[in-house]
Amino acid sequence: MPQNSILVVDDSRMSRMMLSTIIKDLHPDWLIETAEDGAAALELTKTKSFDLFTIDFNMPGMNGLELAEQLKVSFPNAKMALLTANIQDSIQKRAEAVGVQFIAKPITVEKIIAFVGA
Amino acid sequence: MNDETNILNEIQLDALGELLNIGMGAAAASLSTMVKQEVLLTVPVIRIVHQSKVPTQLDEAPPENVCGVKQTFNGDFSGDALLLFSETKSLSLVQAVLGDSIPLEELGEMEEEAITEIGNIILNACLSSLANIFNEHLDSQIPQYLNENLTELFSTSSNDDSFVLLLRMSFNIAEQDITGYVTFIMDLESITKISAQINKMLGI
Repeated sequence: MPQNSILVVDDSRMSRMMLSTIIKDLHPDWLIETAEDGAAALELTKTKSFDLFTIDFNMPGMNGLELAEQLKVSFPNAKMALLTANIQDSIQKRAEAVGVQFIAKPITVEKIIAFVGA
Repeated sequence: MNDETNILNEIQLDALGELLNIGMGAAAASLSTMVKQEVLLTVPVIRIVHQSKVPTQLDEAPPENVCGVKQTFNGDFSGDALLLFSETKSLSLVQAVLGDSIPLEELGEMEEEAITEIGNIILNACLSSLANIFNEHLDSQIPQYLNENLTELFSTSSNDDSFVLLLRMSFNIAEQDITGYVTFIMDLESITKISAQINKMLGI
């Protein structure tokens, strides 16, 4: 697989660390960046381009789906996943409507492989 | 099963116990994935009691100080969901979840954030399960970390009508001997709305 870049957006440092570690183990050559909320993610995307995004739902400021809708405008071809503990049917349907994959927390290696590939 | 408010009758309390049992089953499955061990659940005991009585009813020997997470939710019914652990077990839980992925010297530093995220996952699993069963949507706020004296946590002003849907259901991770408790704080209006939802579901 060619080198990719991925942005992990999550207000939990633990989640950012776990995700970064798993992705780095799977794809040591990928560029992995993290952001703690939607505003920081949008700021980062002003100067950097990404192929993949994992986005938490419940974050301070805008929620993950609001962020995904904005990112879709700048990155229409990027692969995006909403990665959240909020596993309500209503959230899963909204994710589908926005066109992002839905991954239920807790984070596991298997779930991340299914999204980023082995 | 016991209701100080008399809003919920015996059948409704029993139904609510079963729904929360399903919710906690989802929560325990999430926790089990995180700690990579079996999580044992006790039979749920449901009580609706005034907030101030929670410390004495939480357990036969309730912990003096607790840490955990508070998650406020809003929707057809609203309130705070709390996941509590004995303060002394907090670091063991973090260690069980993070295992070797974080150096030991960084574990303590990560404790607050890790407990917050663990609570976020467990409480959301339970709340999402309830929302899905009732076919409702609940908005969850950002989870808040707690580390407080148990009595002070549930102390209220005299005119406060907040009751606690006390779900005394502990889960136990055998290797770490960690016990946790889940409680829901709701006002009378929300408990009444839950009662209506249960009636709708039971066709009463």
